[in-house]
Amino acid sequence: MNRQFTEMLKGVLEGVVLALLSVQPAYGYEITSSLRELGFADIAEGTVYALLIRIEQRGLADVETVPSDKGPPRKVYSLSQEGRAHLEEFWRMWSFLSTRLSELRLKEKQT
Amino acid sequence: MSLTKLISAVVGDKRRWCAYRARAEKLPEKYRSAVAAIERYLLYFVPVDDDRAVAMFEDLADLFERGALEGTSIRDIVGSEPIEFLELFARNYTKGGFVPDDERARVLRALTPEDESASSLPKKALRRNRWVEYLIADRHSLPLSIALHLVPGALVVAAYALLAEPFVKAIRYPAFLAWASALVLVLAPLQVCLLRLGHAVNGRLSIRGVVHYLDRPLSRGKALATIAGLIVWMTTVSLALTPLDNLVFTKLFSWLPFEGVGGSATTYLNGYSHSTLLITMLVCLPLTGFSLPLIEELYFRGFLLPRISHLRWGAPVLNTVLFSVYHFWAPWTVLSKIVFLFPAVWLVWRRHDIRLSIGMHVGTALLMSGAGTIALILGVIP
Repeated sequence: MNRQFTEMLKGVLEGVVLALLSVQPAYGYEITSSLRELGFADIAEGTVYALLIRIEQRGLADVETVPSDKGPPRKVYSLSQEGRAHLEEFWRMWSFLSTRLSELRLKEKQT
Repeated sequence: MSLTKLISAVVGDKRRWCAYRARAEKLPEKYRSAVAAIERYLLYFVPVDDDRAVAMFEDLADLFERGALEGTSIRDIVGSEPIEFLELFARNYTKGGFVPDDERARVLRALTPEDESASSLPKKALRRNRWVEYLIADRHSLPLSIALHLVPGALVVAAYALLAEPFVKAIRYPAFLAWASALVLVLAPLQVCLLRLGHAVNGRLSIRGVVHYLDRPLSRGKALATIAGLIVWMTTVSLALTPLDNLVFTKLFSWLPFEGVGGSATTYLNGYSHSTLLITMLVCLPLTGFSLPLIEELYFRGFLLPRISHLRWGAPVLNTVLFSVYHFWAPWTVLSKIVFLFPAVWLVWRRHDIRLSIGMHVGTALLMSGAGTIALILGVIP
């Protein structure tokens, strides 16, 4: 995967994870696999894990510990009230960015 | 600053720290060594507070325990840019840190194991057969491990009786040369096997991933000092226990049919001409004094010991006992061997640094055969 894409992904990864959590609560491993299915094939499990811890620390997600059939209990993350607000803010910024970029592209084509 | 000092300065809660360490030690080898490397790297960061300092390591253990359970590769856990993952991870608990370049290089080396980069190619994985998988697995079952410890010893005796002894007797050289030849006949192919396993793992000629404890976690000074201590220990204890060997020999093993068994190190050299002895010593010096002990260490300490480390302290005990018994050609020395070998085996297991036992074993062997050869040249031994 090329460098530029990795850099771009870094900027939106948190938003993407929040968006995934807004669909349904999930644990780290599930988030990583959803991201991979979405096409972020190169995403590291540790990166997602670190991001989830960050999201938890900032109160954007609630954490519930559920027993696992295999090994130690798992942490299941669900979006908190604050997380929802944060996600909305993310989408606002995202549409702003994508609208502006499409406009720019349109201009570029016209000239 | 020593690492332990650093830990007490950085990590406040010793009980939680110890609990984390115990969890990390229980991980399968490749996860364990990855965690150890990351731990070392993270200690360069300044934690936000005492709680976060320990929480960082507890979360690290969580991540790798889960990874080990799911069988996730190290590559999939830390990603293609491990440093980026580590920075992101550390940011959750610390105010940042300064990591020297060589430490960065070190953690990168530890987190991009050659075995994984190769095994991610599906073709390679398919070509491995079941036995290779058994052998390079993180763990050996107890029966498998016992067999792998002892079979080479049995083969040495067989090689001696069937090939080496008749040949060396025919050319009228001392039995010592026959034993050295028998060991070469078994240990050289053994080393080739390790390399072939390494080739299956790495896709090239390397023993990484097959032989463990190669990451040199101890500083050079500390390693050298420990080796020096071990050499002194092994030399004095083995000399001090010679009467025990002799006692065991006369009580139990005097029936052994081999030529020149028992007694002191020089008895089986008696009765040969000076030049014959000198040629024997010179031929054997690079073998018994260097290559053979080296191969033994790579095989017994690097390959077999880490694969029974789930037995905890039982691992170095079992490895020492079985390695001593493996010397089927000198069963009367088993007891003393257990005593003088154990500290080195224990330290390798504890410190994950194979240089310690290699240093002791090769060092002592060189010392002994070197001294023997010089004594022979100088005519001290008639």
